Amino acid sequence: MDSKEVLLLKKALDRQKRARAQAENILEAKAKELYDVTHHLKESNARLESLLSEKTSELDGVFINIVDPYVVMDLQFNIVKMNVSAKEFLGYDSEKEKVNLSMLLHPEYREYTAESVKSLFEVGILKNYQAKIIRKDGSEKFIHINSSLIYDKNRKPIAAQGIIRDITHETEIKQLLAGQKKELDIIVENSPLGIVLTVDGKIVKSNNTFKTLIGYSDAELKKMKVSQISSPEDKEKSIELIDQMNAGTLDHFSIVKKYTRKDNSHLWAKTSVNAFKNAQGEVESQVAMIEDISAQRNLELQKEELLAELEESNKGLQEYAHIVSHDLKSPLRSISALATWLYEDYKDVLDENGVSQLTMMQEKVEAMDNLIVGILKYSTVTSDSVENTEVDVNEVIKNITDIIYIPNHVEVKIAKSLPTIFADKTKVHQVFQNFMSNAVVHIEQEVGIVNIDYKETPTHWQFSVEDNGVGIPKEYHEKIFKIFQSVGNKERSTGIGLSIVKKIIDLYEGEVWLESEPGEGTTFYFTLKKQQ
Amino acid sequence: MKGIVFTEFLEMVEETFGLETTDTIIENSNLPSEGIYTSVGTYDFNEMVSLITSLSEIVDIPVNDLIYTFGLYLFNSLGKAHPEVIQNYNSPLGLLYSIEDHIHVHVQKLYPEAELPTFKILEKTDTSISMVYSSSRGLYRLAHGLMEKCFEHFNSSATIAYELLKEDGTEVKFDVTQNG
Repeated sequence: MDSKEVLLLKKALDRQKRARAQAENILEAKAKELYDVTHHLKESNARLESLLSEKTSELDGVFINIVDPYVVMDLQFNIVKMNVSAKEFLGYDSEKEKVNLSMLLHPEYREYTAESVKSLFEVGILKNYQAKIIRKDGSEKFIHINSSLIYDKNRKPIAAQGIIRDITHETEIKQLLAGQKKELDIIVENSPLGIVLTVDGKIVKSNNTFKTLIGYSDAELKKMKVSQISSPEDKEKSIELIDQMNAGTLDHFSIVKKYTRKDNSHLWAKTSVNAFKNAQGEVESQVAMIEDISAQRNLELQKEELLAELEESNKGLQEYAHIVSHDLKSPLRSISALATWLYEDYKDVLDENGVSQLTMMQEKVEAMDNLIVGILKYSTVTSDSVENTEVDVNEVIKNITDIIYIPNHVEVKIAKSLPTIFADKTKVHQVFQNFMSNAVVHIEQEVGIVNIDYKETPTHWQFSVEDNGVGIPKEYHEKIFKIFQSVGNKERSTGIGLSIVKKIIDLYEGEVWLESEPGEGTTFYFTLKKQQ
Repeated sequence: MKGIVFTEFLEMVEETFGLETTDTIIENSNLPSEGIYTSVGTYDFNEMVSLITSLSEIVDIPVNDLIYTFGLYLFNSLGKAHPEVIQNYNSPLGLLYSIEDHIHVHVQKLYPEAELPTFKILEKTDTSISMVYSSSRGLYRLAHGLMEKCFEHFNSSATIAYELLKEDGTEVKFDVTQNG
């Protein structure tokens, strides 16, 4: 081997040695790297294991503590695990006996359950499953289940878990409510009143009665506001009331308003509105009851018109009475004057019979004059002419006794001091004068007594005028208060007096009646309502 | 570049051209590693370029031919180092078909930092395969030699045509048809 070859081999050997050293370094570094990685992995594993154990313990806790019944079943519906609540609720214990959930299911729910289970297997979760089950003791319960599948690490389903909720009570309440709602709907729909539910002035619901009244269909009404079917003139008042209601100061109000029907005709209706409040006391909606009063309203309008007409014609009649009495009186005065002149001029040539006939003629004229005055008075007794003041009845009686003719054998007595009443003096005078005039002239007893008395009731004054005169036969008791009716045929009696009395007493919302025995006397009673 | 390519290259040079040539190209190439390579190490690709260029000058053989020859040599070396990889296959086309999905995956396991060429399969029949080599190294002739030797290993032969898709040889299309 020459020296050059030796040199080359040495060099090559040196490179090999250094390469080996380099390789060893690299491998050592790799070994350390591996060690670090392994160590790191071990730590990670330990952490994962502890996490897993924590989670498992957490889940066990949840399983025990969960209040609702909780059940884990295998894919054949056998219960694998159940908590205490589930044991109590279902009456079964999967640790002591084999329990298959499909056995508990009420037959009516089989089809629905099959579909639900299919969906659970397809989607992985099942929400709001509701069915009826039969518990171990035979009792039936409505239940609600939210369920989900449990998978192994290869995402293959191995079981399903579910939380059961007892909704028996809820379901019963729901059924009861549905029943009540139905009843209520029947009442609402068949009510003779229109019923409308509104929210913020919009029509949300209305019954058939209202639709018939207003002429719009259900679909049309649901797009409308109350203001669209209300007459503009009621708007302001309605808005004010609704505002008060929304503010909470008003719970209920009633208003008579005019609605406009689809055909533009008007509907007069009494509308009662009630606020419907939520739990916070805010007005959520309004319920309005609408009563058609168009017919009533028309009658009222007719009545008003009739009254106006009547007033008009009454006024006409009064004027007529004035004119007629005036026109009638002047020829009477002429007749009276002519008769007087006839008597004056021819009293020497007239025999006794002629004079008597002239006197009778004068008397008839006077009677006629009285009759006319009476008619005039009767026609002027109206509420328009009432002028109420404090009236001392004692004074009135005194004035009357001064004016009227009282025969010598008759005495007017006042039983006790009479009251001072609030009334029209002239009219009180008219009433008493009529009764007293009648009383004093019809006494045939040797000593005539006219007794005036009174009684007070909470609302009325009751007066009485009693005499011991001839009395009034029973059949006349009602008749005498009618115009132109009098008992007997006395020249001075026009038959108008008591009808004027009756009219005045009517004005004071009083009553008049009498008690009488022929030959013994008569007592007239009348009441006058106390005036404010 | 993986150390095994350097060690096998120097081995081939020593076997073919002798110890002196080997020493000369190492000395001439002015290598940062001083020509000290181990198969488990990783070295700068430029050292390989220097070594091959230097060898080409000394022995007066074109660089690409040297690379092709090295490819032939390298197949056997790799086969000796990792016989179990080749034993997995019973046909050369099967092996070629699996370079990307199987063999390179194994390489990456041992040397995560290795920068490997890609072989995109365009077409495969029972007797042929068409694929695109791509690598920034442009060592398509090395691949050519490896393929040639692969058929030989299975006692077979093939017509291997290649077409440069890029002039610098970083993308080359191979059409391999098995003979017989």
